[in-house]
Amino acid sequence: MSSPIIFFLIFIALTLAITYWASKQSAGSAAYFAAGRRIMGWQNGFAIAGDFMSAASFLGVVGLISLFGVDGFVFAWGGLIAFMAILLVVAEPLRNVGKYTMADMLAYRHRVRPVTAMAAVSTLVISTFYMIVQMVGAGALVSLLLKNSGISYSTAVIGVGTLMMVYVVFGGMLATTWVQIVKAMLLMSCTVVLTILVLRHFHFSFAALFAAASQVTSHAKGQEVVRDFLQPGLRFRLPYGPFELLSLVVAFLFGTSGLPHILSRFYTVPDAKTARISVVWAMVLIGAFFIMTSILGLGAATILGPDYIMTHGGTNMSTPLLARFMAGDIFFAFVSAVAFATILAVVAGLTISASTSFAHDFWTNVIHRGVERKAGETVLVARGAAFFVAAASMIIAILLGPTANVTVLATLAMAVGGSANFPVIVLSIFWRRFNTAGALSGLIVGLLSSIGLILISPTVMAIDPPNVAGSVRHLIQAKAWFPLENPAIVSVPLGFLGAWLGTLLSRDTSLNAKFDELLVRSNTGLGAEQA
Amino acid sequence: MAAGNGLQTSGAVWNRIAQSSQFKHLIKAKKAFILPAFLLFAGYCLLMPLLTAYAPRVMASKAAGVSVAYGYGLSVILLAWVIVWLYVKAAARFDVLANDIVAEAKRHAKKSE
Repeated sequence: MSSPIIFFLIFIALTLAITYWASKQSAGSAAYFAAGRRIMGWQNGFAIAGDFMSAASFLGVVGLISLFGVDGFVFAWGGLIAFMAILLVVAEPLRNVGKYTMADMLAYRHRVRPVTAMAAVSTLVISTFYMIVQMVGAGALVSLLLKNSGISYSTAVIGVGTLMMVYVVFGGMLATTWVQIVKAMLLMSCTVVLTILVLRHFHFSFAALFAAASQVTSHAKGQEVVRDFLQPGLRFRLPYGPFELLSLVVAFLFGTSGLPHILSRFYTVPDAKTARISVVWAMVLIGAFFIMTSILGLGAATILGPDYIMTHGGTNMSTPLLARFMAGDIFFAFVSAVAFATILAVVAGLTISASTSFAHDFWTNVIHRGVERKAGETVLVARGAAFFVAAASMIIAILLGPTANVTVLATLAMAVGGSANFPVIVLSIFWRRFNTAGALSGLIVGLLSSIGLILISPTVMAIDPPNVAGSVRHLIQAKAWFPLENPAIVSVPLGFLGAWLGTLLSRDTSLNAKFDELLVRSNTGLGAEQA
Repeated sequence: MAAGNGLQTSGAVWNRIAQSSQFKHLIKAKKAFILPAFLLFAGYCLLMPLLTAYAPRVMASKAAGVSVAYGYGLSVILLAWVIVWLYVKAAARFDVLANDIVAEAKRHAKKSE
C-alpha cells in the first residue's frame, strides 16, 4: 500500500470518529442544520476558511502562479477580497434574521413561497455546480497522485461521494463543521511547512526568490523562452485580458457572498457578534494562506520550472510536485492526502447546504407552507436529499471525466452566486422599496444571465484542433459569442438591474412596511434565533 | 415567525423601534463606516485591472526586486486586514448602541404586559 493511501486512511478514520461523535449529540432541526448554533468564533473561522480553501486554492492557485506568475496571483488575493462584503454587509444581518438558509431572510419581507422556491433553485444550482467541480477535481487528482496504486478516477469519485454522504447523512452540520476545522488546520500547517522549505531553498532571502522569479526559463514549440513571472500579462493578454481581469475581480468581490455553503456557516454560531468574529478569523487565515501560496507558486516556477510541471501532470500538480522535490516521497504523500481531505470537506459542506435548502426551503416552507407534519420530518427529508445530491454528483462527475484547472471552474460558480444571490440579499437589507417581483426577477435574471453567458463563453465554446479529444474538448465547437471566460462584469449588474426593474414594474408596495421589521432585526439581533 | 426571546412582534413594535432616535443613530453610524470602507476597498481592488490595462509600464516597474503588480496584490491583502481591524473596533461601538436598543425594547415589552 502506498503512503498517500495510509495518510488518507488516517484522515478517514479521524473524520468517521468525528461523525460518530456528532451523531450521538442532541437531535433536532437546529442540531442537524446548524450544529445547535454552538460553534465558537475561532472554530467557525477555521471552518469558513476550510470551506473556502478548496482544492481550487491549494492546488489550482499555486498551479496558476507557477505557470502565469503574478497574473495567477490575482486568483489568490481575489479569494480574500471576497470576504469584505461578507464581513461588512452579509454575515451579521444573515445571522440575525435567518434560521438555516438565505431564503429565511428573504421571506421576512417578500411573499414566502415564490421567493423561497426561487432562492432554493438558485442555491441548488450553485451548490451542484460547485460540487461537480470539486468531484471532478477529486477524481482527476487520484489519477495523478496515486498513479501506481490501482485506484481509478471513477473509484476515487465514488469513494469521495460515499464518504461525504456518510458525514452529512449521519453527522449533519456538527460533523461537517469539525471535518472542515480539522482539514483547515492540516491544510494550514502543510502550507506553512512547504513555504518554509521553499524559503530555505533561497536561504530565506526574498530578494533571491524574486530575482529567480524574474527569469523563469521554459520551452514553447522547441524554443527557449525566458520570462519575468513578476510582470503581468502572462495569462491576461490583449485584447480582452484587462476586461477578463476586471470581470474576475467583480466575481470575487460579490461572488463569495452568494455561495450557499459559506452563507450557511453563519447559522452555526450563537449570535451576530460571533459571526463577525468568525469572519475576522477566516480573513486572517485566508490572507496568510494566499500570501504563502504566492511563495509556493513562484517557488514551483523557479525550482521546478514550467516545463517540468507541464510534463508531470499540469497546473494542479504544482503543489504536490514541489513537496516531493523539497522533502521526498513521504511529504508528497502527506500533501496529496491533505489535498483529498480538502476536497472531501468542501464537498461535505456543499452537500449539507444543498440538502438543507431542499428540505427546509423547498419541502417544508414551499410545499407544506412552513408546517412540519411530523416532528423531525425536515431533517429526514434533508438526509434523503443529501443521499440523492451525493449520488447525482458522483454520476455527473464520472460522466464528465477528469478535466481542466479547477480554479477557473470554481470562479464561474462564484460568478453565478454573485449575479443571482448577492443582489437580492443586498437589496433586501438596504432597499425599502424592494418587493417580491423584484426579488424573483433579480434571482432569475442573475441565474440565467450568468449561466447563459458561460454557455456562450470560451470556457464552453471554442474550436479545438482535431487531435484534442475526450473531456478536454470544448462542448460546442464554434467561435465563442461572448469573449470573456468570466461573465461577472456583465451578469452581476444584470442581476441588480433585474431586481430593480422587477420592483419598479410590478409597483407592488404591499409588504414595504415589513422593511422596518427586517431593518430592526438585522441590525439589533432582536428576536434572533437563540443558541 | 415567533421571536426567540419572547418579545411581542407586531408590526407596530418594529415601526416604533425603527423610528426611534437611538435606532436611527445606530443606522447612521453603521452607514458612515460600512459604505466608505466597502467603496474604498472595492475601488482599490478594481483599480488593479484598470492600471494593468492603461498603465502597464507602472505595473511592470520594479522596486527592490519586486514588481508593482505583485506588491499591489500584497497591498490588497494588507488593506483588507487594516479594514477588518478598524471594523472590529467600530463594531464594538455598534454593539453598545444595539444592546441599548434591545434593552429598551424589552423594558417597553414588560411595561405593556
